[in-house]
Amino acid sequence: MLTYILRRLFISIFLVLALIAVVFFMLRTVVPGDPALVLAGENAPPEVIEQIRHNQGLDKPVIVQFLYFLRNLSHGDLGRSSMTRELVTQRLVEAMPITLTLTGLCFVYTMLLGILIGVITAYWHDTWLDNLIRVLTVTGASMPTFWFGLMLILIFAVGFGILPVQGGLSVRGMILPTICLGTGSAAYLARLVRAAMLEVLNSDYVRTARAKGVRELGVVLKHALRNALIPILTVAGFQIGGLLGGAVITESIFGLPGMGTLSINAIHNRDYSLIQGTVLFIVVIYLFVNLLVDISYAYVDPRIRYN
Amino acid sequence: MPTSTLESDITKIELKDRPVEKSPIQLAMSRFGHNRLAIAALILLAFLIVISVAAPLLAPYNPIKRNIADRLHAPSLQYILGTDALGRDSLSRIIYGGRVSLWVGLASVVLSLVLGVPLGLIAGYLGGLLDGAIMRVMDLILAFPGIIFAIWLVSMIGPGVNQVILANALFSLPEYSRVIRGSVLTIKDADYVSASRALGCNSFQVMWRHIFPNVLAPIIVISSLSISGAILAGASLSFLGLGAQPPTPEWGAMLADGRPYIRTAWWLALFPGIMLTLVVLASNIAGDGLRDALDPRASTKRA
Amino acid sequence: MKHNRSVITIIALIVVASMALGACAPSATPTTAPTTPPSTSAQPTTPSGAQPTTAPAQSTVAPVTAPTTAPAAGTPVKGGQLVWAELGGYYTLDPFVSPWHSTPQYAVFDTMLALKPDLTTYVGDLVEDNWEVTPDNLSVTFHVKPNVKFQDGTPVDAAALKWNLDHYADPTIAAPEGGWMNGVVKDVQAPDASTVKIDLVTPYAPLFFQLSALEMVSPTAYQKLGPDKFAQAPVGAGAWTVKEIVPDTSVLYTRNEDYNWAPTSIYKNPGPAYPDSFLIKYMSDQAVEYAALETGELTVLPNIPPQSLPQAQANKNITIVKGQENGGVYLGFNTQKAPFNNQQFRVALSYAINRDEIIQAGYSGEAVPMYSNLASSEMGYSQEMEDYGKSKSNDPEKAKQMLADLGYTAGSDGTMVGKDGKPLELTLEVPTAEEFKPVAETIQAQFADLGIKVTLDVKDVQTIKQMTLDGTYQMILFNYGLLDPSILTYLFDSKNIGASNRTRFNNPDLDKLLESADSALDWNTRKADVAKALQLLIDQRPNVPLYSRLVYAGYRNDQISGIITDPLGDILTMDAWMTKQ
Repeated sequence: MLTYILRRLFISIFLVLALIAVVFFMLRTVVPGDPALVLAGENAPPEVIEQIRHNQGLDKPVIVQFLYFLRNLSHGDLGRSSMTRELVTQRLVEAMPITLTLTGLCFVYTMLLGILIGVITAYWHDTWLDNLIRVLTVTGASMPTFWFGLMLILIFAVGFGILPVQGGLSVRGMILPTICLGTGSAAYLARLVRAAMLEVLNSDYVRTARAKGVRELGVVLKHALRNALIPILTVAGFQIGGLLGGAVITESIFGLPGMGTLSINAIHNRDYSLIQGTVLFIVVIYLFVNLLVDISYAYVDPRIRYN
Repeated sequence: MPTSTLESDITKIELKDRPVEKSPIQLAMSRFGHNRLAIAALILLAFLIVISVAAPLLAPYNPIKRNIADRLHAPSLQYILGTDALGRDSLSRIIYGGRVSLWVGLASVVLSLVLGVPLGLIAGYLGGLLDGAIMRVMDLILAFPGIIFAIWLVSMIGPGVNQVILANALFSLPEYSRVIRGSVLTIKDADYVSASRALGCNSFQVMWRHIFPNVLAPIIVISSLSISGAILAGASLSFLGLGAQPPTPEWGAMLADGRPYIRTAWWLALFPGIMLTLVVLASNIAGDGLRDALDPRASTKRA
Repeated sequence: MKHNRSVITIIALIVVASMALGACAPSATPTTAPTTPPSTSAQPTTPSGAQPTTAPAQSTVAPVTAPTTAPAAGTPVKGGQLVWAELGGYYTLDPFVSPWHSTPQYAVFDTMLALKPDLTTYVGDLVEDNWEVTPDNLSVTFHVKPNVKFQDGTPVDAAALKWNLDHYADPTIAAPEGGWMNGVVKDVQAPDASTVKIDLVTPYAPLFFQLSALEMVSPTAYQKLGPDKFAQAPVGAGAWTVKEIVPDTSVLYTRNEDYNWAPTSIYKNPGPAYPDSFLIKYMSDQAVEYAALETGELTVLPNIPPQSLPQAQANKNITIVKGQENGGVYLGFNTQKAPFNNQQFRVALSYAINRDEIIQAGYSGEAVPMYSNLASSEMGYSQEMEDYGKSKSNDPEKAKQMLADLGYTAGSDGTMVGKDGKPLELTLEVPTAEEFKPVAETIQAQFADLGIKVTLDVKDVQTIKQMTLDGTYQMILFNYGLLDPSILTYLFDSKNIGASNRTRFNNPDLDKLLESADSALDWNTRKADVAKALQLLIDQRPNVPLYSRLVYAGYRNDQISGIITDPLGDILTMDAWMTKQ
């Protein structure tokens, strides 16, 4: 297992370099727009645009820019944001607590709600309850975030006045973003749990367990849920990776300056260093989370082995 | 039907005891046929597709003809589902909108499946270097900023619905392949798999005949739920210049366009939203039915 | 007088997020673009306020109060927090770098001059009102107000102002805000501690306007921190001191207790400001912003989306202030590219546009049609030219006739076909802002009525800017905003091709007219030149001006009192105090 992990980590370094190289060259060669154009504003004359380009080092050959970038990267320097002049690493560090909080809350919410609904609907499958919940979860899952977030605000903040529209990192402020972001995933997870559990519930060993007189709830939780864990884990990996990478829409609606806001604004401002930083961060997160998921497979299901 | 109940029961039992007479597909079809809910869902999907295809015959108005004087008209006898900000008939736009939205939704999912299922099966079943290579590429796709890709794509090849399908499929590949791979890992050492290997089946046969049917449940769940995601992505990508360009109606874009009017012209977003939910609901139920029908264990269960 | 430079703001948060594209999980569903705010104000909306009695006329839609004219009830009290929504993206607070200057900058930095809410008279802000202009209009001498200090305690003296002006003019700094100084400003001198003398190469009419937009920083702080760190801890001479910056999200200011130099010809309160703190929240979703005003989380929302107006009007706690942006939205043609290099063709297309329809579709009627290149809210607007432009508009039959003269005829299916037998198919580049979509669709439909097929290319605004610089487009939908008529130089002078002259219009006659206008210190002379330029633009049609958006600002009358406004719909808060704390 250890060799497996080390090998994965070793390969990851090259993958990360490959990805940031691709992004680096794409931005500077084929993606229209550049930071100078953004910084020059609307009415700056051509010579100002040229000078900004020069000041930003954008007039050098792309390959030279890349070598500079690599050199700085080797010192852990990701450069400065062209818009705010802040160190990119600092921006990432600033965005982290928000992103981690939202991810954590959302993960807990998704898991609790998703597994609960999944278990209920699988246990009482094909009853009216199952069908009702199925309609509700599907509606939830097909509701776009930009709509759901606004509806939550209109209902709970404007209508009932019990929660703030944008409450920042406070407890009350995080409730609506968590629901907005987590409900869709929970519905999705519930469906997966239900499907996985139905299979298990029909399997011989669960029926055997039941036949042996094990209490119903015990059967469901111990055998069935345990065996439905692989898809749950896989999806959880996605959710965590995705959430850490930033929930652009939810963050924007609820005014949370996490990774999502950071990366989308970086792209809109063509803030090259910042884009590079967010891409680097997100790819590392994904590689790491998926490594964890793969490792946990082996623990959850002893039949899975890596060599 | 045979006159004697006893006799017919015997026939049934005999039939099931001799699967040779019915292929697995026939069995699955007959099981699916008994799932009334699934049939209803399938009929609904087919109905929506027919409506879209027959849009020119059904739509009461020209979906792109503006009529500023009648803008934001609430649902009425004249305009059953109201009109939008340009005074275009919402019902007609919904009917026509299905053409793009259903196509984008279904084609994206099918393309994701066609590409993602083999990748997941190969990675999970064969393992080793191939697994590592496939999965790391998937990790990279996940981490790649989609919006940059979209901006680049549109500046390179311009707008188009097929570009959206391509983008959707590409960016959902990691999810499909990962979920499938995870499920494959849990069953690849199961007895029936080992048995079929021992019987001389090659890897391809094992994957196709024994592994694939057993990982259908998660496949069906992700594909039926991701239809709505694909349709909505079509809407957002059209904002970046990918996808159906205005004035072509499309449900996702209609939903998005209706958002500023949420409190003054609720009908703008409600009806496309309902359509979207209906599609997802129907594909979910049909998908569940399909899973039940294809589940290899179901035959033993019901015999 | 903040120019409002940005335009189609970048906030078009369109969507997509890698996750939306990627994992098809429902949580990842994409979203739409929040609308671009009609970024319009031309006034340092910051901590200001004016005597209610002198406030300019403007309509207030509020059912209860008429905010500008009604004397504020009660006596001002200190305390409380003023919460303000800033529309549009977050930009650095370093004025030498920022491409966009608005309330967040004007809160912390003062300028040399200020514009009164009548939008015509300039008064001193950091300098006294009694500046002197030499008869040849080539030199202006300013006297710095005594006892004015930057927030770090260093004095605002002639040397400090000279340092700032030199920094703006330095071509290697490339400050966007100082771009005009090249070729205009010869020299800045500080003969003594309280005198600043600006020598010009040529008479320059927009000088006072430009100076009213240049924010003055503390040279000591700027040199000590350097440009990289100054943006995180800006030091100016404004009414508010920066306490905390959360990029992309908010800026928190506390009251500058030393501040007492607000121009008394504008404000009753020379300073310090009444509220203890000032919080600017950057918001990008208009529906959410309005919800925050409704719940009282925001004190001031500078821009209520037209779709939410009915609710706002019905809410007795919200006072609505109506104004008009100092600019507008236009349909631009690439005048260097066929078929748009043909003036007749451009004029023909312009006849096909029906502005009233566009305004209905995009803004529920909340915009003013523009028939010439300056909106009625901008200096240099000419009613005569507006009428002239109107007489050359709204005539699809004429458009058809002119196109026929150019050899375009309707084919069998009604599609316009050129002499070469090719159908007339055009592409319109549309920035990704929610509000532009119905506008573009209406234009598309109006051209379709003539048999012209227009493809709408919705694109990220930076992509479109790049295309205008490279000249690789046919038509664009774009907006602009500047109070001063020198906007025409930015938009149409041939020297700005490859930059702000997005239509790539190259007309020596116009260049001469604009040069003459910009150097005419006498307002009537300048206005006459501007009118001639407007006429030439109507005849030549490098673009079709479409509309100027109405601005509805809203504030909570149960939270704040003493607000004053100007015709642009700007909210001035220097005299305002929080009634609910």
